[in-house]
Amino acid sequence: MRLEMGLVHIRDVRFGSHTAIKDDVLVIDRGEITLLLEQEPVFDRVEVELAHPGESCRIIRVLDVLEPRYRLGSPNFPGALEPVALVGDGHTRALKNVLVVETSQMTGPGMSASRRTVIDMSGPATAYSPFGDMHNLVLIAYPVRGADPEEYRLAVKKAGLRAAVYLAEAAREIAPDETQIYELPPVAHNQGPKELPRIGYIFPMHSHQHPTHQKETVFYGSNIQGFMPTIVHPNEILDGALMFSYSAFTYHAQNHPVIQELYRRHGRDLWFAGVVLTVAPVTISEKERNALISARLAKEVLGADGVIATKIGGGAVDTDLMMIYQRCEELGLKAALIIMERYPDTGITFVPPNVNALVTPGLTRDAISLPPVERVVGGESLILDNTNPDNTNPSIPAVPASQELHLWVGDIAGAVSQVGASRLATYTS
Amino acid sequence: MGKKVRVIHYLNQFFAQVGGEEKGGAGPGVKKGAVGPGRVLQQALGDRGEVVATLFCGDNYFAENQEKATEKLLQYAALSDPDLLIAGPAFKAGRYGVACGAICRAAQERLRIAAVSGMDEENAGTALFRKSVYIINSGSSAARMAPILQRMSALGIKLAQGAPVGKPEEEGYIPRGIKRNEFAAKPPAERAVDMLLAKIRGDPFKTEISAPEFHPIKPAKPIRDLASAVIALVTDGGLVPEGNPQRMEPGRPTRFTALAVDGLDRLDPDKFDVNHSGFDTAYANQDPHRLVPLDVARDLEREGVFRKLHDTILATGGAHAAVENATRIGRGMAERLKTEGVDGVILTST
Repeated sequence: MRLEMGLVHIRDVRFGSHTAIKDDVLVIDRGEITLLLEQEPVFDRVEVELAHPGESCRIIRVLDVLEPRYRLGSPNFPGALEPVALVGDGHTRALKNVLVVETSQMTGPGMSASRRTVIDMSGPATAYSPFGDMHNLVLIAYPVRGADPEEYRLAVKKAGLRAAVYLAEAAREIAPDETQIYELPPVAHNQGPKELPRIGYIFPMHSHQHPTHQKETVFYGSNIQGFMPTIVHPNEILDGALMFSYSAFTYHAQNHPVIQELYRRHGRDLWFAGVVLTVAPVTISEKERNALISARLAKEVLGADGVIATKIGGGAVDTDLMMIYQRCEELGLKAALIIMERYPDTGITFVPPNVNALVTPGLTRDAISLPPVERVVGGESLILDNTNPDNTNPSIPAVPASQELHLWVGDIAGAVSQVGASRLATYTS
Repeated sequence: MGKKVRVIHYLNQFFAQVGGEEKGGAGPGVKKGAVGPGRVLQQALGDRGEVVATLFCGDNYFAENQEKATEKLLQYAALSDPDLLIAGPAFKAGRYGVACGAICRAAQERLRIAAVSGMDEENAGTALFRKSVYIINSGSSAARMAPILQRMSALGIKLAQGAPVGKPEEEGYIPRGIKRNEFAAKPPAERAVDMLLAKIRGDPFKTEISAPEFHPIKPAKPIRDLASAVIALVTDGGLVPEGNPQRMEPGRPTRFTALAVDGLDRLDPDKFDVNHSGFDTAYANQDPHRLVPLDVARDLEREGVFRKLHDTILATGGAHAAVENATRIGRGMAERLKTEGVDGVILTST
């Protein structure tokens, strides 16, 4: 299966009378996109703002980040936004250097993760995350009175998908600046030279320690409750079949670092054997079952010699990752894990002594100070104890977001990602 | 270059030239300026800092009167209005090392000044204080006094001036076990694939995260006669009284709470909350027995399976606990239950 991802590089974004791309500049009809996004009944009204690289500007309360995408001649984000259909083949347009940023204007369950996630458009944060170096269209959707926080969150995520498709549709008739080919044949024909090790990827996309909402759309529109490990084509993940419930940005499914790395080296120093998609369940027997089946699929169906595995979620999923590692090694597969570190002093508690190949995308609770900014987008204040970012007591008052903020590196959107998008490593001091 | 850093130097009785082993009982004292190795320290500091006073204490005295000695030494130190404390180096002298670590930590916490010590990795003071105090790895030989004091003063000046501290191998300190970020040459996905390929080839590779070291715990002897035993309920699932009046942490716990259940047959959801950042607490909040089985424990008590259910439940919120804190909380719980005559514990986790 072959996916041609046509990249359209955008050098500037502005509001104008008609949405179009001309001379690498994306012009957005502000009224039209606002009207489009306001169709969710749970929204009272929607505002959109632009934030540009280099500006003294901070985007706050970031819920999700997406790359604008448009599939030529078939549904986008199937099951979540448009009718169920298959993705990962054919032609897709991707706008590069532009992001859709969803913000949360409501507190409640599921919102805690976003309450102090920021994107700074200049200053030290841009060394950590690429998001501040791109032109960001920020969605600010205000809920109707009495809105249910979960309904609101799902509506914001849907609005984000809608905006991503709306923007990239402008590139429908544009010849891409470059085209990335993602192609992997059916498993039965996916044979490389004998000397290249076959590498698979086991991908728990969600941890049910925080269950998905009944109406949540994670994979092809499914809420993935009761999801069993299965083989998927890596292109489906890159092309809009998958979005995260929490703990990771959809941008990193669309630009999945492990999948892209395996593609990059496919045929060079490894052979990309394929992807096993799974979830982290909550009971021991389910965890054991998913780890066993995932390892078996990687070994006996993909025919892998080695696997990379990553996780999404809290510390509970560390156990799933370690089980996947051990079950793989028991079957004779070599394994390496990417696992995020949270606190400087706690370490990863669930590392069995025989697990010896772990890579860290960085430490989230590493202190950083972000200087004051002239403009804040996505609200005015954020919930933070500016003297002690470790204070997560839900009753702490909000502080003005334009001032100097003392928070964690992990609060910078895009700085540390569990699927391995990061510029960081760690050392023991 | 900022202003000259005011340095105080801590030495034991031997290096402070009070006397040898026989003077180990000497109490805390202070001398003006540099003494003994302090002159080498002054050379190492150059014009960046000045040794304004030397504190000293006998090793035995300090070991036997740690609180009193620390108190007195801090009083002496404060008189000199210091910016930095340099303690030792103690090399492999254990009591001296412990004193250096203790006085450094106290100076950091109470005088709010920078502190650096120097010890051998095997020194008892290293194990006790490496997490809270920068300790330059001095090795065991006192012949290396000058180069070690060079490193101690270089790191001390950085700390006193708030300059960024480099890695252990650059600065020469013993790793504290505290992780920090650094920018990497390659992204994590590429490093993971490199590591996996090296592993498949059988080439050497190094994990970026090591397994934690746990000290084995000897299990208690089984309860011989359950029918005469007192049993307590304990949880790390974050049970708190309604409204969490003691503001127990939902994660990163530093303490535990005791909930009185004397005379209670059930945990009323209106009177108890579950406060924990690591799992979905909705179901436990609906019915706290899903977390702590007081209801069935009462049944068992009534049936005489055990003699008595203890009248308090101990609880903490165990998400992301630092191992040291978890160990301390666990020990605190165990000591309390032991004093209160409890024979066994049912520990429910999440």
